[in-house]
Amino acid sequence: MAENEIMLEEAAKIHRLDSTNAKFYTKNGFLAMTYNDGEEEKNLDRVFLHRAFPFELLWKYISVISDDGKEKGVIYDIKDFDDDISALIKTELERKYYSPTIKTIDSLKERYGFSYWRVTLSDGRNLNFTMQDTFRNIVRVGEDGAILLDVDGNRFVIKSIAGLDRKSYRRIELYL
Amino acid sequence: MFIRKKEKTCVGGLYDEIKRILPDASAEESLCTFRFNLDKDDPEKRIEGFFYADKKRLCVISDGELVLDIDSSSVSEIKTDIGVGCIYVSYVEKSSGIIKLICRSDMSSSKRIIHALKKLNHYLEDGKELHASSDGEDGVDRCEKCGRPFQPGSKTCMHCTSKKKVVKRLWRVASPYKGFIVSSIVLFFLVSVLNLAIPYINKILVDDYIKSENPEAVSLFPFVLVVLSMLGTQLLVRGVSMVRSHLLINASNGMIVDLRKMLFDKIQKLSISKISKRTSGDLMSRVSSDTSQVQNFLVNYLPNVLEQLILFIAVGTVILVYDYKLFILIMIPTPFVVLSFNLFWKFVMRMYRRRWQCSAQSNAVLHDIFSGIRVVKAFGMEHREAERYDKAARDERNITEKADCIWSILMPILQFFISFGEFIILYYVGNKILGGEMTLGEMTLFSSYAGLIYGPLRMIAGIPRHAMRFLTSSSKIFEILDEEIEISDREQSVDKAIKGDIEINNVSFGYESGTEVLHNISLSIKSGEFIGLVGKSGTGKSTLINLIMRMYDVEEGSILVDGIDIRDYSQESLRSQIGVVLQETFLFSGSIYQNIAYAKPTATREEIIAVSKLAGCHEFIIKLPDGYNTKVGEKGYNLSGGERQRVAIARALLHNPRILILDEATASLDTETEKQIQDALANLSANRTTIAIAHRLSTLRNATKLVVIDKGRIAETGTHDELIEKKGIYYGLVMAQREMSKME
Repeated sequence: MAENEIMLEEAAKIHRLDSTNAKFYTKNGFLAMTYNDGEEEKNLDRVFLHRAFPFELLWKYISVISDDGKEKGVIYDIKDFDDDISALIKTELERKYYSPTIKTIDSLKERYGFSYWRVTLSDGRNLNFTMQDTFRNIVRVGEDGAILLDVDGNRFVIKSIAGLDRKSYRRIELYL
Repeated sequence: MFIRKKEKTCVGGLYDEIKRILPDASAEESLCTFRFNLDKDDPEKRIEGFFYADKKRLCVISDGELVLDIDSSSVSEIKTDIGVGCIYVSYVEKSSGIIKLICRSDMSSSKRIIHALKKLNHYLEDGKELHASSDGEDGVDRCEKCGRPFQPGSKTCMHCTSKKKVVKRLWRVASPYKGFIVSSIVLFFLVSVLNLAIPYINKILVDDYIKSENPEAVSLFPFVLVVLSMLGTQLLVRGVSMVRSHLLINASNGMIVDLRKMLFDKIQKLSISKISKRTSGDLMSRVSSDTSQVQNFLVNYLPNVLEQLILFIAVGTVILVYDYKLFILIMIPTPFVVLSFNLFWKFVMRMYRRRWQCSAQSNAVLHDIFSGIRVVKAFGMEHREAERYDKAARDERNITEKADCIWSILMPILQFFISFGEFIILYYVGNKILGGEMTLGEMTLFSSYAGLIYGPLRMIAGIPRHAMRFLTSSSKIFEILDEEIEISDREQSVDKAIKGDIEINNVSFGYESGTEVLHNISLSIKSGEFIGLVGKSGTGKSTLINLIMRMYDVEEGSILVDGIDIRDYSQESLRSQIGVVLQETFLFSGSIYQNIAYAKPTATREEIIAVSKLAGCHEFIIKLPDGYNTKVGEKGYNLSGGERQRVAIARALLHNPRILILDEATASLDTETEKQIQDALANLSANRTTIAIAHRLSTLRNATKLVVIDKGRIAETGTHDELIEKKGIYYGLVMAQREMSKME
């Protein structure tokens, strides 16, 4: 099986990035990368990070894409880098995948196919947002988590549905 | 996230905030202003930020501090990048071409930001101001009144639509059937009066005949008369009810057919952009299920409620006049019944909604498995899929069991509440009979009346729910009817035979506000030319074709056909002279003959065969047992991708258009068949303008001119030889394909 994986990886020409062949830093406010593509060392002033499994594996299988839209390599695990670079990648991912965490659901009303949510976030802020086709736009993550996608394209995370207070749980229960 | 009315940003307020830091900023001079709310570096940190740009400077204010103030002339472009749940704004430095990050915001303001930056980018590009409606407040699909978002593709707020208005409008639709409706209302009254009379006759029967104090004096004839009058009244009630139902069904059916026709006509007139924002399921649900909901309310629910309501008032009045104490006793359970119905209903509805969702889920699983049954079998996954469905079915069973169990416990309790009132009456009137104040006939009369009163109560309890459902459906219907037709014919639109010259002048276009798919395209196509559009996927080739067909209107610039703006042609005239074959061909349910003749219903059999031969489909059609009468589409003969495409080409050729558009039309064909069709098309296209999109470049070998589109702009134009010599994008594509064919 493992042999098969290596063969596939080679066949697909996946360039695995780790501390031996890549270095990340910040330039002009963006994440930049110096990497060795197997032949020579190259500098990219701006790279984009894309999670391959954004609902399941937040820090693994991160595709690194250059400004022209081409994949330059894949980070299999951010732990493959030194702590400071790994923290930089983590910050960049958190910056790109902006998804505040919901602490409580204070109100939830549904009318005409929309659901109107008033929530308190983990930082104590209150927020209103609207969801459409609510049932489909609540994505279950892992055993107990959920991601809510609102009409504007914002994402909100509920880390543990079972951990919600009773009232909040009763409000969201219908859509789970 | 939505902004409630009181929090809504207005341009004036925005400038007040900006002016505190930039005193010389002015709304008149401004090219672009917007708010943003996320720190550009710290992932989670929220800030209050403002962007301001005029012809001289470009400034960014973050939490009350000016963090960027640069000369506008040093910037060549402002870029936006969409993250996940956020948007980045950066600028390109003119001197070095370096991109620098300016700010970040969550998605609530993304549309507004993109829209606001459009005007600035326009200025940065050519130094001219854009006078289109492109203020920062545009491009946000929200209700001005309540700040809630509109349904996709709609500009009507379902929350702020006046319900009275909806009923009034529905009454207007009903006006041709006024006669039926008024007559049925009169009959309602009649039925109610007759219903009241039955217990009264019963009372006479009991008091004067059955419990007569002097039975010997009772003669048979009046007794028979009373019995017959009872029978007559019953017959009359049934008869009048039948006539009333007939009248109502006639009126409501006519009304629903009218409403459905209005809806369907309107949907047909809406532009592709409006229609594609709604799912076909949504549109179908509005045409069929929302109209059915309205019909159901009008035919089944409203008449019943009216009848019961009239009965309730009439019986109530009779009892009140006769004995007010009895009336109060009867009314005691009323508030409990209404309240408990509403209270329990909410709870039970919750259960049933969950059941509905589980049922929808298990249906979706089933649909998924059946649609992909070939894949399931090919991978030997039958067992796994069976388990998947089993789980979904189990979930549904569990919730159904729970809902039914609760319902079966609640219902008898509620029924008891209702019948409890009847016990009170029995006790009261029993006492009166014993005291000699009431006769047995009167007791039966009031018991019947009490029964008549509690019946309507159950129905009245459900009025809000049904009325809400009816009003929602009506609002949804009128929402479509109120849609603005984006692509409409101008008042003096032209109906004219075209030659086929196409002039595209500085056309820019984007499907979503602010995101341009085509940028400043200019192209001249002479009548009879064969133009090949080449480029990578997603560069805007099909969009350009959609614009020529006027499926969408251009945002900037113009498209002229024979020197006349396509917006000046009537849509019917323009499209009837353009033929199109798409990669994804759609064949309607019907025979192959009907599908080809779709383009020209008056076509002769000879014409059909001729175009089929030209399109290369005659050979396979003729070998089918049913020939041209072979049924295709759903439940029909399964044509292969290539066969479907050839039928579609035949359909387009029969149309005999002046402009023929082929969007990857021969992609599913083998090279030999493609060559045959290409040659046939070349013969036919002598005087026809042909625009073809193809990734397989050999398809375009007959093209008189090739246009290479890259990132929404025209990158190269010329003949095959010219472009090969140029060694640009086209050269790269040709070389890549040559490599591929060598490998093959």
